[in-house]
Amino acid sequence: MIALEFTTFLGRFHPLFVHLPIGFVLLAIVLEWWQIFRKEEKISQLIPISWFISGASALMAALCGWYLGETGLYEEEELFTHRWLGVALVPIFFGGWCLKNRYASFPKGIHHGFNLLIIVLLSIEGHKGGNLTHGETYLTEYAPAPLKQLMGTTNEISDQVQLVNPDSVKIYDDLIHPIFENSCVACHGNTIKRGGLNMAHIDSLQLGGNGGPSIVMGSAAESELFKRITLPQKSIKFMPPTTKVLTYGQIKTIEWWIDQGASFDATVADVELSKNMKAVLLRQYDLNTESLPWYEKVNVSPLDSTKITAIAQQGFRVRTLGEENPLLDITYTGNNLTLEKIKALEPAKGHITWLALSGTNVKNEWLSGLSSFSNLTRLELDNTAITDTGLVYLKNLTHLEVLNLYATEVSNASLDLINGLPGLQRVYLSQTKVGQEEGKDLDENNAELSVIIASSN
Amino acid sequence: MDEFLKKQLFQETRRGFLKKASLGFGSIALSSMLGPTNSFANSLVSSGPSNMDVSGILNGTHFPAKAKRIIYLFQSGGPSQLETFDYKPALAKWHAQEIPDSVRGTQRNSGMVTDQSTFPLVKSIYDFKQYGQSGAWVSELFPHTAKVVDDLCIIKSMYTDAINHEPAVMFVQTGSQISGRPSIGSWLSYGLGSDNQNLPNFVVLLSKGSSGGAQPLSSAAWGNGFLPSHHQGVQFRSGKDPVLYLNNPHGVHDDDRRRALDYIKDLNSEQYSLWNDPEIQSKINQYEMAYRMQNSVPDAVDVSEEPDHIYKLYGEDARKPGTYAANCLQARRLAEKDVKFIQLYHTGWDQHGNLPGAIKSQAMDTDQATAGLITDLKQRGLLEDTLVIWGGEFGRTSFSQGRLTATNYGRDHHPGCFTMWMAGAGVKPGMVYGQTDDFSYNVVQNGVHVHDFQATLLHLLGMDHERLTFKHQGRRYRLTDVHGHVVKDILA
Repeated sequence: MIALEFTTFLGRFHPLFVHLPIGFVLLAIVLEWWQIFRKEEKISQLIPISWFISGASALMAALCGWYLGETGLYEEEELFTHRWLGVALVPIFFGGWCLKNRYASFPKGIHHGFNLLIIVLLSIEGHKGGNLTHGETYLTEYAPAPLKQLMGTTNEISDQVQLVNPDSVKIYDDLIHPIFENSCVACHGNTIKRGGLNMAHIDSLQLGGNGGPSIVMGSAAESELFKRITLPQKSIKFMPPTTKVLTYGQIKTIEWWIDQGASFDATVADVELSKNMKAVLLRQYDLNTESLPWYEKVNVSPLDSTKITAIAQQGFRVRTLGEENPLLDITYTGNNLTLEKIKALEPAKGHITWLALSGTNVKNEWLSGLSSFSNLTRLELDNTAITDTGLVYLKNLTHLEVLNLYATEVSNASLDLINGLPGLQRVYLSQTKVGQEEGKDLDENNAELSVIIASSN
Repeated sequence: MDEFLKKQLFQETRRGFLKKASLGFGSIALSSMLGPTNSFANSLVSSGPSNMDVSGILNGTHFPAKAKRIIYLFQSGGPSQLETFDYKPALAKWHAQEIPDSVRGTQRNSGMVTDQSTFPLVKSIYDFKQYGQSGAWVSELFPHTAKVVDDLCIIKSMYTDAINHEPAVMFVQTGSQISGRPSIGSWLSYGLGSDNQNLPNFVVLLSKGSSGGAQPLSSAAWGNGFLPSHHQGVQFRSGKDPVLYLNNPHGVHDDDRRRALDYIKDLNSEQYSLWNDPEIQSKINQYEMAYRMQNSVPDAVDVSEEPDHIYKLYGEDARKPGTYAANCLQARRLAEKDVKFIQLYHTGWDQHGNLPGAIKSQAMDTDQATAGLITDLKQRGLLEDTLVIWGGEFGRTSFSQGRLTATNYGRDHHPGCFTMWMAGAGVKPGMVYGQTDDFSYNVVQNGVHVHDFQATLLHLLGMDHERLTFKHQGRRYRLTDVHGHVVKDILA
């Protein structure tokens, strides 16, 4: 343990030494090229000296770097090139020293080629090292957008996937594994298996470590893994032992996953969610586990703007739901609705999701056109003369979630139809011919549906 | 092109000109090499002011809006959380005892209590009960509100930066304690535009609390700040002239007025083409709006057709113009007409002394009408896309200001915690969010800062609060300044 600590101490000097060879070798190359440019006969004594110093400091950097790599804080795959290229550079620098010492014995071409090779190798090595310390996005994070496109990187932060739908989010793959990957696998992975535990793969994770299995399915409290991440931070057994401890949300997510059977295939929608867990998922992963309204789930391509303009010209106020949601929210704002105007909505029938015809002179028969509005989720017909005859046209609107019939002529005869609308969540029936008793009955009998009906007097 | 060039030149500032002269061409060349479609910023192809008025600067929302309009019932003066929603049974044990230093901590107190030698804690003189399926605690002061508690999302952990009325009201309404920034309603009008061409986007209704001695409100609370001036709130008064100077003077015929307005518009347009000053466009907009309002406002404020059962709901006070109840009814009528932001202010919640009596009369003013508004909006289906907000500018101290007697006490301003509630579009109904300590002095869980509240409000309207900006004096301003997090936990 002491030995490990001391080498780690040495390792931390890597950033100090690592810049020296770069500086010296670049100095040597610039000096050499300058003298060639000035057409001087003899090259300066400084050049081989500079090469030697760069070799010596590269040796120190490589040594410290080796120890730093051993601390296990770095991803093995990313480390590999940086480590071995760094080691290889040490003899190459010393080779440069020999080469420049006997400058005249070699042709100019060799010298130039060697210099260029060194610059290329150094760039690669430096870039790899930078990626290790700062992360791969560091260099390009604030690059102008067109430049990013050229380089093929995107704006998105890659380690947090955009999670949208609870039934498509796998608990292990999308939530748990990334935590392990970020905080555990550096020491409990394929190459370094502290305590015999490898958390990089499902099989090896199930095998557990030297002390036995790390996870007891269905019981976080008995699982070694969960115990270790929830110990007091000062404890020597506390994991992860770096300053990057797990957050409350991460710990709760792991606990929930183990308690729910530690399944490797289950999706979020498959298992039970407590109120607290819903809040954790929302805060930690921006994952909303409440059921989304249809208009946030369905994908349609944007409607042609000429079609939108045509509708607006008929006296409708047309809005898209959002920048990335091309569904339409349409309200009639004029004062003389006609069948032709309703028909003008036809080209947008797959796009209209909210439609308000409140307070208009809309007639029962005109609603027939609405029966093919497949993505309609909210329909406002309040303060109109609509009766039961009109409602019949709505019976195929499977995604209708909200139906406002306040102050219409609708009666008890429509209640069966309303009850049969599969997606309906709220229906407003105050100031109609629907009886209060009957309305309340429907409200109680259909668990998915709220009937809002106030006493009319 | 001439027209375009001129427009660009008028919008140019000295600094902008120098910057573009030195760097501009190079950067256009560079960006056209990298991505030819992006060479020119969007601002060069922005829509004209007339178009902007309909759809707002954002040209639609960022994401689906849960709320299309807001009714904000501002309880001015700082209603005590301890007598209304934040039930603290532990205070009964501590009643009349000194507030522990560990609780009081270093939280700021106002200058009004610095002379006090003792800070005795005081329990609410009013009882609390749990109501509805949510089991939220509500004081006996609010029997009507208690009935609609399952529709409310009560936030008990609000806190603010300001300790006195004017800056605190400004802070809630404009996001800055110093007056001069645009208010929430102005930001909405600027960002989202109008849904009703015949009525202002942002209407303000005032009422005086019957407890008397109310703090004055300054109109900067509904001002447009640096936004174009047609975004400011329009105050509707009670009585026969709801908007001052709107009607034609005696003897002026409507046709004459129209003709005069047409000529004024021509003159203004000429000036605009000469100077390109956006304020001229504002002026034209306002004249035209005022003309349309000559018809639309009398219609909007005419409550003669409201049936009796509505008055039963809002309370008989709603028949008296200028009362809070009448304003609540008015608010519903304006919401039906798609006014985006309806701001009510009810003054008189500032109970430094004589709290038990005064808060009771305040509650009598507001309780039934507030609950009536919720019920009415709900039955009409308007609660579906209307957000109702209730709250003041700060809370009140759990210790007594002035002498504590068996029947009387007062409470001072307290920015550390206060209660607000929201109801309707996009918020979870029947939820109680956040917690204060046993003394209702400090927030202990899920604190909601005023900027968080504002961010959440804009989110509910479909806007990202970080992307609704206005460039003024060299920097971009937001309602939430550089702060604010959306309180996702309360979103339905």
